[in-house]
Amino acid sequence: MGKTAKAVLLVLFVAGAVAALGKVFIWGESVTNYGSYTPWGLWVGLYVLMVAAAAGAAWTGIYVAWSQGGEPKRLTTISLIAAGAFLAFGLAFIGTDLGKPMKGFLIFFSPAFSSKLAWASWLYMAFFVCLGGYLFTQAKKAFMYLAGLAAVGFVVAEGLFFGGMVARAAWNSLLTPVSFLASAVAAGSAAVFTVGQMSSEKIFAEEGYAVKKILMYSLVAVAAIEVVHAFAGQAALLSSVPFWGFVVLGVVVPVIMLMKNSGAILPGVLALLGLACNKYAFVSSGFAAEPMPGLANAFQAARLSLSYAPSAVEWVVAVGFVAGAIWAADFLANKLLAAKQA
Amino acid sequence: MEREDILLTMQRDLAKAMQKPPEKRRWGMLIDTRKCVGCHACTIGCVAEYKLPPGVVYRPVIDKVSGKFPDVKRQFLPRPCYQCENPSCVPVCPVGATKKEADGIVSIDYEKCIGCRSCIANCPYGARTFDAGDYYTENQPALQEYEKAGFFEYGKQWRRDGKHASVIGSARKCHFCTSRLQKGLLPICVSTCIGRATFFGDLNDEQSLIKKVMGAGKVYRIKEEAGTDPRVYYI
Repeated sequence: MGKTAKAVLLVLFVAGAVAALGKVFIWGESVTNYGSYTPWGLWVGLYVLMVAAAAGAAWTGIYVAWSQGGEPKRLTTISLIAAGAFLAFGLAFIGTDLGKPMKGFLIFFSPAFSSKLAWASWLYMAFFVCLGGYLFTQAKKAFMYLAGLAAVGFVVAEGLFFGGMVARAAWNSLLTPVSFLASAVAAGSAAVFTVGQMSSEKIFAEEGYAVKKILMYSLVAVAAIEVVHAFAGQAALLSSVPFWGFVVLGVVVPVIMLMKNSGAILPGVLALLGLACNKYAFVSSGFAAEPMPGLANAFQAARLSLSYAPSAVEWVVAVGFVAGAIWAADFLANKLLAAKQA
Repeated sequence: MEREDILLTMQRDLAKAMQKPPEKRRWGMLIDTRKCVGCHACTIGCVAEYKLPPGVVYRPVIDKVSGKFPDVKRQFLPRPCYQCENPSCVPVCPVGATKKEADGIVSIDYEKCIGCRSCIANCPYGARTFDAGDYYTENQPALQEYEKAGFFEYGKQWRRDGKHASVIGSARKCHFCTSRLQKGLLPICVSTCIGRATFFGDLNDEQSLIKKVMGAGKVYRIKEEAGTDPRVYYI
């Protein structure tokens, strides 16, 4: 990747980080637009995407190793670093989103294991431990597979968390965890497709021949599942602009580009963008209907509305953290590969 | 014969129930929609009692219009927290900040709540709201004192004026006025109801007024299919 592109990513990341710190330490919720009837928005959608991308990147890296003899390859290392970066920024999204960000650590010291979110949080940490084991010990192969297992665990936990929400008809389905797993493969392979080529086109050309196919097939699979999901209860999706943005921008265009072998990293970027639209549409669709008819008009006050549009700070943090994840993955992958060559 | 105000009857029922250990009583509410005139006194009484900020409401009254002209029906549906027997908000809390108390009230520990809003997302009744730290009189020449005043919930006094006040950034909801009950007072929505449409008491006490009224009329609950087993009934 060119220096200018890296500089742009870094500037976006710094801007996002400053905005996030401002939200956490100074402005509080006054700079966010979510409320009581739409308690989650853009950040939760991107958290779901980044976590999915982390899991999928780890699986893609494992597949690269497995399909080429079983030993971890250089692209496996890049994939796992990308997974770690995406997971870290995904958690940064949810940390910033919390009403009390500084108390988020309680999930580790005082977890309630009736909550799938608590399970997911512990599995995130297990993943980071495995990533550390992979990068800094000799037991690379074992830690690689363990990281993949932890990733399966947290994606399933998240899928069951959303899918088990009885109050949200749009999510309360067994298709939700299935969709989470499929979109994890798509988002992860898109992340590896993008970061892998950015970090080293040579390594990607030598070891990443399967990534393109995984990305293409998984995008089609996610689109198929989401269409079934929409007709099986998530009807709000069909009238959602971000959902169609996902279908066109995130599936049709990148698949055509992949088939034509054109666009360098663009299909990966578009796929990630489309999947971000899909996750945002998914989260929004859960709050499209009132829990009880007439509730939103029963008491008029700010933040008691069904309408939600992300605030400027939400956008700055969103763009900044996504840019930060890509920048950090590329930066760390280059550093690590250079250190190994030295 | 002069009839006693039902508030006095329920006050006596309450005193009797408070003699029992918490696990022996089962608080419940019954709302007679035929008597509710939609005055919103319960909503406002609650907002005043707990100094509720913008975005937080414990007991809105839904104005429900059904049918087609000329067969139109209008009904007012006060919606407190239903203190479900099987609350869907409890198991999703990742830190155990919300739980079912021995007397059946679903509580929130503001000190523990991290503000993830999972409970808000998983309440089928929209009974939980989020305290974003707003004030009605912010951006005015002065923040009014009444918005910063202390209030009592779950047996403790809370304030919202500190930067790190635990209640800010937490999920909030109706709790059947736990602190008032401890002092032998009926929930504020019951006391302020001008139509005497809200009944409150111990559902384990067959002699209590709420049980007698429930036995006399056809009661129903909202969204029973959700499997949450709410303890707020309607006539």
